Amino acid sequence: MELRIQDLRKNYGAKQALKGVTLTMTEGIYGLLGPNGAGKSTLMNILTGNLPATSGSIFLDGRDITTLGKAFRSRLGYMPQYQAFYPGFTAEQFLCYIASLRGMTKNHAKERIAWALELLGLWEVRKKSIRSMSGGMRQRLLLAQAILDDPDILVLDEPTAGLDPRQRTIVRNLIGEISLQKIVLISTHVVSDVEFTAKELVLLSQGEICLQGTQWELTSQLQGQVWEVSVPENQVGELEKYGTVCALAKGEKGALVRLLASQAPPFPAEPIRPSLEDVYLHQFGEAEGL
Amino acid sequence: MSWELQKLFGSRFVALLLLGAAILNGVLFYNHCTDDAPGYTLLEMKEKYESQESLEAELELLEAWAWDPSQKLEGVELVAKDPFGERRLILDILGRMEEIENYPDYRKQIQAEALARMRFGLVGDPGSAPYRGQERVAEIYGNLEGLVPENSFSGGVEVLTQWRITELLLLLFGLVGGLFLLVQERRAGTLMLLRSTRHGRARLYLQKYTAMLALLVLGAVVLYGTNLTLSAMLLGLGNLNRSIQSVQGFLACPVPFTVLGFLITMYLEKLIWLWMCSSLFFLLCVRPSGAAVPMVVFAAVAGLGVYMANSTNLWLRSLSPVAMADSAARYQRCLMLPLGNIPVAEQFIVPLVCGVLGLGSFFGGLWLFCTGATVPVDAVSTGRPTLHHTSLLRFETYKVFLYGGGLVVLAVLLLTQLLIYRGYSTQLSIYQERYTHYARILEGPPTVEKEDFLEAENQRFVQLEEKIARFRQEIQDEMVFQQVTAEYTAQLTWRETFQDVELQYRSLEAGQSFVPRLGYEYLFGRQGQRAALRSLALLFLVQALALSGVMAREEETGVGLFQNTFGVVRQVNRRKYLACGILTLLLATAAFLPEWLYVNRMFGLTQLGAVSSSLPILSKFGGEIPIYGVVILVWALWFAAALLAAAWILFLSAKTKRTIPALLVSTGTLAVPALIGLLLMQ
Repeated sequence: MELRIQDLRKNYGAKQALKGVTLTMTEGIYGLLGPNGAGKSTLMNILTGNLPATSGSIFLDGRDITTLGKAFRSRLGYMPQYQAFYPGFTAEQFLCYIASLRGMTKNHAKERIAWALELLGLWEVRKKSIRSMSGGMRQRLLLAQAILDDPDILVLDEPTAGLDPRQRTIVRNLIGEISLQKIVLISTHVVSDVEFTAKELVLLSQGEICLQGTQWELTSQLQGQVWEVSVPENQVGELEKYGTVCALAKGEKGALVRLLASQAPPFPAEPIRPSLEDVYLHQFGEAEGL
Repeated sequence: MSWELQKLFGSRFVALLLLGAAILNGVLFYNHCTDDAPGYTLLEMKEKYESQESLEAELELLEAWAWDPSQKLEGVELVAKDPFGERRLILDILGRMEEIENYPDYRKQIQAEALARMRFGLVGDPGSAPYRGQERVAEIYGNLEGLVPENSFSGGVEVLTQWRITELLLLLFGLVGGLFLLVQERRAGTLMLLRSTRHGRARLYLQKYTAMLALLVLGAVVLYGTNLTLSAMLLGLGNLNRSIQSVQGFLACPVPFTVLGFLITMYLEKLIWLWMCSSLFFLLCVRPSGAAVPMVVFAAVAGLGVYMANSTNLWLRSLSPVAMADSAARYQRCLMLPLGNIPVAEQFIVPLVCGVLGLGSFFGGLWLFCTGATVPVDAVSTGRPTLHHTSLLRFETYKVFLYGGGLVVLAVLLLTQLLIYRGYSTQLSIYQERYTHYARILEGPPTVEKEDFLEAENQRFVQLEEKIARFRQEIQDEMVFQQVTAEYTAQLTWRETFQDVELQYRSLEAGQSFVPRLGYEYLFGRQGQRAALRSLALLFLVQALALSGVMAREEETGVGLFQNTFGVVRQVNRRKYLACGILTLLLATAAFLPEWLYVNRMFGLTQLGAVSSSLPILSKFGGEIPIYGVVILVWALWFAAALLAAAWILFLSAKTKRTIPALLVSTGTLAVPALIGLLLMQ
C-alpha cells in the first residue's frame, strides 16, 4: 500500500499554508512534527477531505483519491484535534452513529464497538453520557471511533492530548500494535509519542518539509552537538550565550543542563546522545521564538 | 458592562435583527397612522376638526345626497376619498364631540351606577371588597367633578395608546440579551473560564444583566421614540396639558392625568412590563446550555397568559402577562380587584406585580448563577439500553425528535393548545341553537319533505300570530294578556331564525345542498382567519425552536467533520430533511387541528360532499368542487406553508452554523410577522 502526496499546496489568500509538500508513505507510523501554524492540520484536513487543496494531488496505490472518492474514505480513519461529539449521546451510542456513517452493518458494528470500547478501557463507561466523561475518556473515545472499522489509513491529530502519562503510554503502544499493515500518520507536539515508534519522521515548518528521515538519521545529524553541562544554579542563565537550553535538572552540585551547541561551553560538559526533541529544538527553537 | 455589550453588538446577526425590528416597527407604525380602513385617515380627521362649526350642516347635505347619489354634491368640502367616507368621518367627529360635551353627565352616570349597585345589594354586604370597591369607584369619579375635557383632535395620542406591536418587537431585544450573554456563553464553554475568575460570579452576572437592560432601554428609546416622532410629525399630539379624558377611549379614565402625564406613565409601565419579561427570560437562561428550554418555557408562559386573559376570574385576567402589557387599557376603566376585604385599583397592582416579578427574577437569576455548577456533575450512567443499529435514518430521526427536543416541543404545543381551547366556551347562542335545530332537519339536497316542513312551519307561525291577535282582542288586561300569550310569543321568536334558514334553503340552485353554515362561516370568516393566523404564529415559533439547531448542531459539536470525512453529508442531510418534514407535519396538525375540532364540536361540519357553491363563504374556492375538496386545499396550503417555513429555518441553520442566531432570525422573520398580522387584524 502506498500513499503518495504530490506537490501539495494550499493558499489562504496571499498566505501559503502549504508550499508544495511531497511525501510518500507505506505501511508503518509516520510522525508529523512542527510548531503551531506549520501546516500540519492543513495537511491532515486535505488528506481527510475536509479542505480542498489549491493544487497538487494525493494518490493511493497510484490512483488519485479524488477519483477514488468513497473507496478511499472507506479505508480512512480520522481522529481530529478538537473533540467532536454530541454531548448528550452515550459513548456506545456515539460509536453506533459513527458506524452508521461508515456504512457498517449492524452486527459488524456491534462486534467492533465492543472491541474498541474494551481496547481503550471504555467498556465500563459505555452507557455514560459523553458530557459527563473526563477529558481523557473523551480522547480515547475519539480514538475508538477512528479505529472502529479497522481502516487501512489512520490520520491522528494529537492523539494523546489530555491523557495522563500512563494513558499516553497505553495509547502509544496501542497505536504501535494496530499499525501493522496500516499507514498511520500522527501529528503531535509530544515528541515522545512518535520518537521510538515512528518509521519515519517528517518535520514541517511554514508549509514546507524541512527535515525527513528515521529517528536515527535525524538524531545522527546532531551528533557531537548535544552536551550535558554541570553548572552552579546561579550561572544557568549564562549558558544561553553558548547554545539552546533543552532541559534543566537539579544535580548533586548545582544544575544539570542539556545544551544544544555546536561547541562545548566553558563549563564542565560531556557530549551525549541526541534525542528527537533536540532535533526539534534545533530545527524550530530559535526561529519560532518561544 | 462594555465587554458584555460588545458580545451583543459584535454579532452581526444581532445587529441586523435589531435594526430589522426598528425598521419594521417604523414602517408598521407609519401604516397605522395613515390607515384609511374606516374610509378616512386620521390626518383627514385632523383637517376636518378645523371646521367643527359647519359639520352638522355638511352631514345634512351628505345624507340628502345619499338618497340620490347621481346628484352633484355641493356645499361640502371633501377631505375623505369619497362622500361615504366623508359622512362616516363627520359622524365620527360629531360622536366624539358629543361625548366630550356630555362628559359631566357621563361621569355622574358612572358614579350613580356604582352607588346604585351598592344600594341594591348587587355587590354583596357593606364591608365586603366588592362593596368597598364600588364605594371607591364612586369616590374616584366624584373627585373628578369640575374636570373639563378639551374638544380637540386627539388622533396623534390615540395611535400611540392603541399600538401594541412595539412591545412584541421589544421582547426580541430581551430574548437576544439572555440567549447571547448566557446560553451562547455556556455553549461555547467560555462561562467555565469566566466563573473561575475573581469577578466571575455576582459582578459578572450584574454586568450581563445590565448589558441586557441597556439593550432593552436602547431598543425602547429607538422604537418608542420612532412612534412618538412619527405620531407628532404626521398627526400632532395637540395640547399636552389637556386632560387625558379628552382623548377618544379615555373618557372613563379615573385619574386626572394630563396627556403628557399619561404618556409618561404609559411608557414607564410598558418599560416595567418589558423589564419583567426580559428578567424572567434572563432567569430562564441562567442554567441551560441550549436555547430550547428557555424559549419553550417562555412560550408556555405566553400560552398561559392567553389562557389567563380569557378567564372569568378578575385577578387572572388582570395579571395575565398579555393583559399586563396593555398599560393604556388599564386607564380606560376603573377596576377594583379584591385583596381580601380591601379593593385595590388595577392601575396600582399591575405595575407592582410586574416590579415584584422583575426583582424576583433578577435575584433568582443571580442566586442560580452564583451557586450553580458550570460543568455537568452527573456521573451516573444513563441506564437506558443502547439500541444497536447503524441506520442513518434512525439516528437522524432520533436527533430531530429526541436529542434536539422536537418531541418535547410537540408535546408543549399540544398542551398549550389544550389549555387554550379548554377555556373556550361551547355554549351556543340562542340564534345558533335555533339555527342548528332547523339545519339538522333541512341539511342535504332539497326534497319534497323539506318543502313540506317549511310550509308547515310557516303555517305554524301564522297560526301563532292569529292566536295572539285573538287573545289581544279578548283580553284587555295587559298583564294577563302577557301571561296567557307568553308561550306563543316565545315560540314566535323562532321566526327570525327560521326566516334566515328558509332564505338559505330557497336560494339553493340546482345541484346545491343545504349546508349548515355556522361552522364553515366561523372557520372561513374573520374569526377563523384570526384563529388560523394565531395558529400559524404559534406553529412558526415552535418550528423555530425545534429546527434551528438541526443543521447548526453538526458544526457546533464538530461532528460535521466526521460526516464530511466519510463523504456522507448528502445522505445525512436527506434523512434530516425527511425527519424534519415529518416533525413539521405533526406540528402543523397540532397547531391547526384543535380549532377545527372545536368548531366541529360546537357547530358540526357536515355535508362535506356538497358542492362548495352551496355556501356563499365557500363559493370563492370554485363553485363545483366539493366542500371536502376545499378543506383538503386549505390544509394542503397550511402544510405547504409549514414545510416552506421549515426549509427556511433549515437553510438559516446551515448558513449561520449557530443555533441561537438561526433561532432568532427565524423567529423574527416568521413568527413575529404572523403575530403582527394577528394584532393588526384585531
